[in-house]
Amino acid sequence: MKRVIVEEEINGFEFREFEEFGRPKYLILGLPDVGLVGTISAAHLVRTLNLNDVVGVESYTFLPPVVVISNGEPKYPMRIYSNGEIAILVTDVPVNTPGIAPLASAIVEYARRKGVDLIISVTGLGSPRRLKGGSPSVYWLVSDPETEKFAKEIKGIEKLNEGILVGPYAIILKEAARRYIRNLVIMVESYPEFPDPEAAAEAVKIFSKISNIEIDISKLLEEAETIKLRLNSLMKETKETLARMGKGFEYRPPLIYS
Amino acid sequence: MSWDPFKIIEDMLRNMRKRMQETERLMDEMLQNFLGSERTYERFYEKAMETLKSGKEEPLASIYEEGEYVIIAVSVPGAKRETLDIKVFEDKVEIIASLDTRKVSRAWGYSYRHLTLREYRGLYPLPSRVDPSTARYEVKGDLVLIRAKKKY
Repeated sequence: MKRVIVEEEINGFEFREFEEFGRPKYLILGLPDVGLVGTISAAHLVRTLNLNDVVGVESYTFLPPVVVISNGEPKYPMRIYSNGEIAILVTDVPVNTPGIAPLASAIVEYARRKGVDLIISVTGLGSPRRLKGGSPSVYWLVSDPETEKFAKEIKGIEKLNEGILVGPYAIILKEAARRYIRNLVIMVESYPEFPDPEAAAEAVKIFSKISNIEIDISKLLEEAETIKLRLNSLMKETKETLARMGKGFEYRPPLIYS
Repeated sequence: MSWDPFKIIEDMLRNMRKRMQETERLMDEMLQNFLGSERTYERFYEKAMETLKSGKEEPLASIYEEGEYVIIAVSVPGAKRETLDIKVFEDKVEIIASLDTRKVSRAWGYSYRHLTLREYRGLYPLPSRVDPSTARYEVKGDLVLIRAKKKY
């Protein structure tokens, strides 16, 4: 297991750094959510960009007692990969309801302390329309006017004008606005209850446009079936935790309409 | 107003009771959250044990109503298509399929050494009764879409 050189505690979560974290421009979040869109796209970016895990995120209160073994090496179930420019948070276990608010707020505070320029939250927008095929639409939400200007420039993505966002990304958005950190939420239309690698590929395409880095998605699409098979259990666990955090609210309109 | 030690003690006791009630409420809330998490983990464990012991995995399904139809979408990645067995009843749908062990082994990697996952098997209750004779299904990649007319 990697040796910890620096440790920061925020809201009951410890960010244990194994290497100098630096000051990455982007922090991409791949927390398990609808269609595991964020999880799949984050994992694909980590593999494609060949990033190393530089931070382990641990909480003996809010996370189950787990180590993940990869190539014989024990790792933290929640970790941040980085190349100094792009940092990506992934997790092998879904975050349970009591831990969501402290974690979301800890992530934003950690990003603030590290001088991250933009937090990119990637999530799915459950839609039965996806079952009928066709390529998924992509929407954005932002924490501030500066990021709004930035998001409007991205081609192939439109503003989500109405709806309800539930879960860690909702808290991250609010905390980012509160702590003056830029947050862009990328929401891709996805299967509501199945892992959706095709939707994740759309999110990767958007990140490619944002960062001006060519990212190959062919492997993601070729291996879609394998990914779905591999993530079957995580999707089941995520469905259960989403239900507990009130994800059902997303499937009704908000009170005030335009 | 004269100095009344009994009133001071009474106020102190009232404040203490109020604080204790508040602490009790917070503790109760924390306990409920904790127990909720524990139960969730317990269910994850039970499901995993069920799969481990039986070698059967329940496929993920999404069931919804569309006008006079009930749509059942079942995700069966890694299934051998030719073994798909779908049975539509008035109030439930059953789906069974053999898994291609090479695909499972590729997906699970080293972890598959400890598993014998052979089959998909799922039984799903329907939100409305349907007429099984109207049921039609199509397979799109690893997705099975079943459509059956509601029975009135």
